[in-house]
Amino acid sequence: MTSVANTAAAPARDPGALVDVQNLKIHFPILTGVFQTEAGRVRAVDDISFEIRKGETLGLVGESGCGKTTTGRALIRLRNPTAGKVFFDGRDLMSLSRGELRRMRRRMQIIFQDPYGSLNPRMTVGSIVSEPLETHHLSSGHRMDRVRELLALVGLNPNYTNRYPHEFSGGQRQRIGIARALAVEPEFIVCDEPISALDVSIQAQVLNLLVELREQFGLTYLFIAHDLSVVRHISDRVGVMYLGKLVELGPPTAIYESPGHPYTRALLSAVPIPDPKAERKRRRVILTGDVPSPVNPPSGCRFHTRCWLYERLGRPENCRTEDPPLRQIGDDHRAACHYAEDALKSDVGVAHLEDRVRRGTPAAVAARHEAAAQAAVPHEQGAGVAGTGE
Amino acid sequence: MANTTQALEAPAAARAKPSASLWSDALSRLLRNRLAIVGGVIVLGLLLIAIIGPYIAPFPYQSQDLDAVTLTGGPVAPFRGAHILGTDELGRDLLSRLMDGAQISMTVAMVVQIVVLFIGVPIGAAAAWFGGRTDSFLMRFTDVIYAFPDLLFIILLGVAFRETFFGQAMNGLLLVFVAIGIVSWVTMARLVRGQLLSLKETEFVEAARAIGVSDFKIVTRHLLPNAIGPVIVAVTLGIPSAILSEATLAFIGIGAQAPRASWGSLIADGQNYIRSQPHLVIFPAIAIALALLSFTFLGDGLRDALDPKLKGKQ
Ligand SMILES: Nc1ncnc2c1ncn2[C@@H]1O[C@H](COP(=O)(O)OP(=O)(O)OP(=O)(O)O)[C@@H](O)[C@H]1O
Ligand code: SF4
Ligand SMILES: [Mg+2]
Repeated sequence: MTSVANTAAAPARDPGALVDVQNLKIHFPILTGVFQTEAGRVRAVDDISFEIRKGETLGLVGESGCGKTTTGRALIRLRNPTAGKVFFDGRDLMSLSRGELRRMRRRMQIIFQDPYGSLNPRMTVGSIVSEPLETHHLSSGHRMDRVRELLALVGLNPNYTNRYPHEFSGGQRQRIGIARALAVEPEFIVCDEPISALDVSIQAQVLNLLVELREQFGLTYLFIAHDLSVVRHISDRVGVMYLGKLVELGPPTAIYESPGHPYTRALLSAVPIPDPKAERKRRRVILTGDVPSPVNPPSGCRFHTRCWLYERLGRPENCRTEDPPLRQIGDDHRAACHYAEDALKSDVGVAHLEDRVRRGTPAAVAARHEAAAQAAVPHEQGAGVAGTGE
Repeated sequence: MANTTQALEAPAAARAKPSASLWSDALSRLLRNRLAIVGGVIVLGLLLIAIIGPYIAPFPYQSQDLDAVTLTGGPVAPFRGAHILGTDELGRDLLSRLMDGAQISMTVAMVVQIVVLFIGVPIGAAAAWFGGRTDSFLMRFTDVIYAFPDLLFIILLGVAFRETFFGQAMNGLLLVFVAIGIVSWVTMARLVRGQLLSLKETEFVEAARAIGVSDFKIVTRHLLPNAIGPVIVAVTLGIPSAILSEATLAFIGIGAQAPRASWGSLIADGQNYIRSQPHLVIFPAIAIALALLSFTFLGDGLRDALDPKLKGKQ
């Protein structure tokens, strides 16, 4: 925590970071009365720091209302931070002029959860997908060709440009939203629960599409989900949020096999393990009680009102008084718990497999980045490959 | 990419249905609603009469058939002779006066709606767009207007200004427009504010902001087109209440000056003969009721057709 002062001034602590979030806070004032005085504030995001590396997919999970959407939107400056900074490719997003921000918008995009709410019902698919092209003066001569190309790219019939969103199914609408995001050829896309609202049968198709696009264009994703199982196989690293805080961050092997935060372990307890041997070896805890309100979060560690480790350790005082910082607890593995070492040793949520060696994921990620960088062909080329089938 | 394209979901749009905008969808829903069609046809008829009434009326509205009156010694009863709906005590043909009244009543209703749009939409939009203090100031102001009893306010305003130049302008109608308009815009302002506030939070507006679309285009392309349906409904449903307010004002002598008469003033004039010649009250009352019902049917039909809950989901 002592290094906060230095890092706040210096962009990009991690040279590989595309997005660097430093002490981000987003509070929503609760205004009441005739004079709109502030009666309190929703601490939607309360001092979180992390980075998203180029070419990486960072999964972000947490219960409803913990601030995932707010974080995701702040990363592309759809929300203004109450405090803290977001650097995109080394540039402080808050310091950009109007024009610079507009140009920056070409590099970062978002895909939404609700396939119904994310498309303007009064616009045709053609005008929805060409709006970003028009806004940034792209492909001016042959804009509709480019729209058709984008529709094909996401697996839609390119001749649907004159149709309206309500004529499509949920999965197709989600593809339209993806085409709109891809239109500006972004590097970074915030995927805010892009498949949670879809039929189970369609979820895998859209997920596969997002993975294919990532490989094809070397995209960097922040992939938000509300449960751990969705992001497991597509993430290079996974972050876990609780009540406005980032409580754990690490590669999937760390998060799923030896989590260092009691909350992560509690979440994993709810996920069934297919391997019966491992299932027998682990202990499960059930999260009791409601999530406290982000208006009045608990003192000290926000999780202490529901923490099983806190109970097991005899309710240590520092859990109630000191906010645990997100600290290094292993290779590329951070957790915000005073007793992370005890959590690591526990068998709650996962079977504690001492003999298993942690795979060197950072190296594996690096290898994939290299592949992605080589595969990052211009969009025009990529488009021809896809979307010929009906 | 091959998997993706093969995994194409059966396109919902492949059903043999021509591509239709939400507007034409709404129209076809409207056309399936019998009451709304009946309402719409009567509304069109009334509007037509309001426009060309003076040309097709059997008599000029102000001309007096003194012979007929002298013969009967009072208002001429309906369904006899040249005056189909009879005449008043001065021998003026009731049908012709009703047709002229249609012009006054419809004009009042329409102009009031225009006043309502011009005051209500900007105030509601400003409150929603700027939010914060601007919003709470504007909304407290509308609350104050809203809290005041409408009819009392209209009548007070009417009585206070009746004798002034303002009260006499445009044959007394300007006062009526303004008085009714002033109490009616509140609902519109609240409606527009509510619509824009919820639209502002939608993901498609967030998407537009993420793309970098200008504020002006966000308002004109994303917000207003989606708020227009409820506004149309509110205008249509506001017309009957304006007609009623006008009739009430006319009944107590505020508004159109003789020899012209709105439906309300026809009732006021006819009430002296309500026992002997009830047709003088009944026919204008029927005209008012017909207008109220038809606009209400049409408005309800429009609301169902443009229902935001159906929007985008079929
Ligand atoms: N514009 C806003 N004004 C006030 N409060 C807000 C606003 N946006 C979000 N919040 C509050 O901030 C908190 C975090 O919301 P957020 O949408 O980021 O959560 P989330 O993790 O995305 O939840 P979900 O899984 O439900 O999408 C919630 O308590 C929410 O009510
Ligand atoms: S700091 Fe204490 S209360 Fe918080 S998670 Fe760790 S053990 Fe539980
Ligand atoms: Mg969310």
